[in-house]
Amino acid sequence: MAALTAPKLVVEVSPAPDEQALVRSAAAGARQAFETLYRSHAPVVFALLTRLLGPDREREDLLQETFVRFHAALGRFRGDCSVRTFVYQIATRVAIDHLRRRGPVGIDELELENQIDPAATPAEVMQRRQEIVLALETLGRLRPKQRIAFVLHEVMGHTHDEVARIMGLRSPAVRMRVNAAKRTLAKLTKETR
Amino acid sequence: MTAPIRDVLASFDTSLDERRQDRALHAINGRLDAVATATSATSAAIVVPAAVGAVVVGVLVLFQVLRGTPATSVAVPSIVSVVSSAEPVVIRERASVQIARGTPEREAKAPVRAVAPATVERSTLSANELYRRAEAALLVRDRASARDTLQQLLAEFPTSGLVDAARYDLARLAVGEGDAKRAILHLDDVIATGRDPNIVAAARRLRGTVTGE
Repeated sequence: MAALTAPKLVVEVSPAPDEQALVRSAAAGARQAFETLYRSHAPVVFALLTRLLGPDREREDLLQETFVRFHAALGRFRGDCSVRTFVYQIATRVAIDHLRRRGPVGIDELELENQIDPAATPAEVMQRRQEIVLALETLGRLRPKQRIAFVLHEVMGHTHDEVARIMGLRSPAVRMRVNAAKRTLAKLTKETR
Repeated sequence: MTAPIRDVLASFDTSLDERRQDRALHAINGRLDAVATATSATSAAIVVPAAVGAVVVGVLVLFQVLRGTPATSVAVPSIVSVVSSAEPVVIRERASVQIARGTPEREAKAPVRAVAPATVERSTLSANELYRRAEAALLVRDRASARDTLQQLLAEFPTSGLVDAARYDLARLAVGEGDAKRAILHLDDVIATGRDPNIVAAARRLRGTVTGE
């Protein structure tokens, strides 16, 4: 199982030179270059989707959707942010679309099972399940953009500026959403106790 | 107060194993191929009528020239000038605009629905290509083609590393069609002979769901 603190994924301001070349090649139709970009970013995109959506069965489909959209958008990548940020922008839009379509809570029993340590005692299993379900249900009460701002900032450790770049918002707007999310979650947590 | 929620989200296992990563890449390539096929098909659909139009207008121009009308006074449709100037790039751009006006996302998605990529044929396709075709068929909800292609993969490449995934997908297709008996047959095959522990574990879980155990 993963550690309790999520590693912070650095969002660089500008892309590494070799990535720029890869993006140019991929935009020109080089499938190998696209696959290299995919291999480099797919694990972090999957991690992002997991934190945004929880153990949702459709994460793999959403990963595909993200990279199909990424491929289609390669031609308009201007290099004013990192490729990672560019992929994150697309992945968060895919996640927002999914949240709006799916509804706030999409707990899949099989995927939930994968989040529980196989060596856990029955009591630990029960406790872990309850924690996950409660956390996702509470998070599901937030609006999609609030939820994403909260997860990116509070769980994944991105700064307000980085979140703003990913979500296409201004930094104060991100700060406002994160604070609103925290207030709502605190209120809901208090109610459920 | 939000710390417990933050801790739960941070504790999620977010790893993407190699099999899932490869599987998603296969599907992405299938979708990109489907988009490329649809785009070129649409280009052809525009070029052919345009060429016919060019011939018709050419005949009209010739007719008017023979009657003594100055060629410069003949109004020639713009599409003809595109065709006669032999610049197919222009026509391809028009085609892609016609497929999906708007966002690149729509451009990527729209043609997928317009194509049935999983034409099953006895050919020299590799196991990877067959699997990719099956996934492309699944994406356009063409279950019959997907099933045929996966079965072709099993028949032609019984020792391929994709056999477990193909059997598992056949089981999922059967579940989707409400055929629990067939799904269980495929899942039992995966559980008994599967080499990929992740797929075997997934097959066990799906079997449990299907049988209600």
